[in-house]
Amino acid sequence: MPDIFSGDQLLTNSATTEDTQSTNEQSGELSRVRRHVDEYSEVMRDFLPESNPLQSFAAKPVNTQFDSQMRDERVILLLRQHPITQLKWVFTAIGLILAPFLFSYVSLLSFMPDRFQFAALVGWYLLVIGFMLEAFLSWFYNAYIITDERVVDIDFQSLIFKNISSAKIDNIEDVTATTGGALRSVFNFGTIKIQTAAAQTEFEFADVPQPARVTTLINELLLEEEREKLEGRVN
Amino acid sequence: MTVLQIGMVLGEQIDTTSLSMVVDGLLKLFFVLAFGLYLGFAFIATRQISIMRKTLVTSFSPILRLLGYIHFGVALLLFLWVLFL
Repeated sequence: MPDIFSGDQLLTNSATTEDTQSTNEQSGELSRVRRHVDEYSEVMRDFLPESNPLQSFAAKPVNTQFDSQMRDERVILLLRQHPITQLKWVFTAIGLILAPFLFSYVSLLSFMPDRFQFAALVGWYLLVIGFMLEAFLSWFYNAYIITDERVVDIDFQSLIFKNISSAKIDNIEDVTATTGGALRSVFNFGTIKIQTAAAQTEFEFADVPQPARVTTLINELLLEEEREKLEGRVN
Repeated sequence: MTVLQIGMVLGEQIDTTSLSMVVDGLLKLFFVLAFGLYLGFAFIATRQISIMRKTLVTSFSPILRLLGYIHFGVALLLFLWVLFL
């Protein structure tokens, strides 16, 4: 007998439904009967929950939340720019670290007493550390999140300017993935543009890994939303 | 050596010493201001890390908070060191 007709599966499904309904009754909020992403997404089925917080493509990330996340909303995919895009600042930092050794023969600061020359060197490396810290924070916290409800764009344009945009999966009208150039083709990263009917009409996930998979996932989420409406699983 | 010549040599030495003291003072002021500005940047960075951690919560957040505090601590120590340079 196929597994879909087995009693165990029916019990599991009904338990999930009952849990959702009891939670809904307690919260008094509009809610939905929701399937786990592995049940409807072939893309996500290939991935185990990601525990490495430094990944740029983190499927079903463990211990990851964002501040506007709703209680029953699950993070399905966390994306950041591909690590290759960060090589520019990495090489710059390496150059800055080596610069004092390269310029030691030129004696630019010989007019200063020795203690001030040492202070200048210490200050130089402090600046380099600050540069590296800011660059890393910018990469780490500029993230794109896909949940089972929304797509979210977290954008820290500098250390002091934050912009968080989100759009419901329902409002997505068009998804386009662009992979251009040798580097993007070799390392499989590209830009995804999402057209929405929300206040912000276009989301751009710039230079993210595996853009084709991300596009497929968003399409699967769109299908699941429509399926939920047709099956009346949205209460 | 005549008195005039002795006076001229002493005058040159006093001028050199004064000039050296002025340059030292300016350099110290420059470094104190520079390290002070960096201390302000390090403080802003710790606050911003705190905001970022609340925006996106991950298992790496505690490590970043620690890095931010270490960064601020090092900047503070170096600022104090430059004050007594």
